[in-house]
Amino acid sequence: MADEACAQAPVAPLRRAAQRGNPIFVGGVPRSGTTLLRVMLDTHPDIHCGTELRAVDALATLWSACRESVRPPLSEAYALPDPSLRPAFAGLIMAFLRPAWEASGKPRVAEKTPWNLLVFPELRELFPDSALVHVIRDGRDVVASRLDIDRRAAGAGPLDTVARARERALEWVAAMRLRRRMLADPGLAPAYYELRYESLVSDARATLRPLFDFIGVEHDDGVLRYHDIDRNVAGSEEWSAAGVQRPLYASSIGRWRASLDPAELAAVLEVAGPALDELGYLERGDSA
Amino acid sequence: MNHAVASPPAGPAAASPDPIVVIGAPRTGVRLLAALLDGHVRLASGPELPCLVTILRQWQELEQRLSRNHERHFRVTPQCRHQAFRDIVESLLRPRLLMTGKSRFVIQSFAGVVCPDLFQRMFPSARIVLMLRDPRDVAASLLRCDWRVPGQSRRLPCTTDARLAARLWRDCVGIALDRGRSLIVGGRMAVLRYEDLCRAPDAVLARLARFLGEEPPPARVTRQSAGLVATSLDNPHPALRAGPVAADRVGRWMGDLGTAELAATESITGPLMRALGYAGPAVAAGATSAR
Repeated sequence: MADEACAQAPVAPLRRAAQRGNPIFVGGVPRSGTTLLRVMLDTHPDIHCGTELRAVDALATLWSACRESVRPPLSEAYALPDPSLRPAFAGLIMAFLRPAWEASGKPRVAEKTPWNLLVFPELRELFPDSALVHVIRDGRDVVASRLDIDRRAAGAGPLDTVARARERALEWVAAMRLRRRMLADPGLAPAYYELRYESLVSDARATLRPLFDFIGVEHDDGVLRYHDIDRNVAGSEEWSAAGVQRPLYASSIGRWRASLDPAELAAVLEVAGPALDELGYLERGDSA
Repeated sequence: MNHAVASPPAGPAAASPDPIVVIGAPRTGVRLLAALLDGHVRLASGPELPCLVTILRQWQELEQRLSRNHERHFRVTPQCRHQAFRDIVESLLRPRLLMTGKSRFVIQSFAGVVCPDLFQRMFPSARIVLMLRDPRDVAASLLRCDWRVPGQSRRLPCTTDARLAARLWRDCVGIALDRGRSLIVGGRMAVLRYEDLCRAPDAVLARLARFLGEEPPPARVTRQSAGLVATSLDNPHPALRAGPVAADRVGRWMGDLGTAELAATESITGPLMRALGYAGPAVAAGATSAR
């Protein structure tokens, strides 16, 4: 029997429709601006988007593994009505999102954890009506920002920043490969929406308008006042929490120029150059 | 550590829909017991579902890593998380229960040796049965299996090398006893010898039934149950014989294992084997093999 705290309260028709299967999933390489978008969405009167659940990727991956392991003849022996196991695992993910969402009283729910990105294809299958929002940022700025965190974590200990820059760049490139897949696959593309961090911080209103259209909520300029809300989230639970407690600023665009030394930048360009170019981030002379 | 085999505690378990979980190293009689229990009017079993253990371990991993975050920011209590994962497991088992009209599921899980405690936490009223068998018979049986590395043509190493077969038994039994120690003490987990089941099936099943809180199942395997529990995605299990339980496979190692295989098996399993009450090393005692 379900725990009482888990039981669903009666809900209005709009909420039931939302519960059936269209949470909004936000992902992106860490330090790409996903937290900024998260707090903006959470400020919207119709969207609840809490801090990072950090479980959706594991649960979607678990679903993939289970689906693979109950294919025929096992699914037949177990008389499974839906061998895809989709409803059960969509329900599992919703069990994590529902309590706080219900408490928020808002009709829509979004979940932002950076590495949700890696399971966008699985989420497309689990939640066919969901929007999958990818926040993209210049890979050089991403690497520079992640190196800052790596340096803080290393403290006085040794850190090969060139090797680490290469690793971080490779992760960014892998995410861009997934982006290409999302755009190219006709089964995935309709659910996929990408948004540039640089656009968001430079002209949030114009950047958010088509996103709100895509996810099916009213435009609301109040989301730009996201920093007025004290969310009581800090530290390791959400790395960028401090950065979203102030109004928008664009000074973080191109910060790599001051943060990456030539060797680190060379390592990044070596692995990420083509993808940066494809996305229009490279300017004349950047790859030299 | 004392690995003395605990008998199933006397006295019925509380009536509960929580499943029975049969675990054990490969070739120790897990499928045999699952098939026997499947012949019970209230109990339904099925093929091994390896994903059950994956689900349990994911549940544990989230609990250890993110419990505080989930409770604080998402209002996901341990009870909610438990129920959500339990719903997943039950969604896999319930359709077969409905199809058979039976009321309690018998999970067979070789992988479950690593986490009997997790099964018990997931299903607090579950009864867990650990199958034991003489490691020499286990090794002899494994060496007869034509199991392949998934996706490849080469055989699984534990089916070609007695030392690896022995290690598999030692590791599986060792971890099951270690993780299940408190369950045995608490009367939640029973240890059942394959040899006892085969030699005195009626008496052993009657005693087991008391531990499970059920009436004893018939001491014979139906053709349907034999086929069902052996279903596998990858490697076919050796045929499970329909009919009365027989003891002809007990001690078959004496004819099947060569001297070198026997010595290798006993050198690896000897201490645990002796602790579990199986006869001491035959090689050291001067026994010779037919092979």
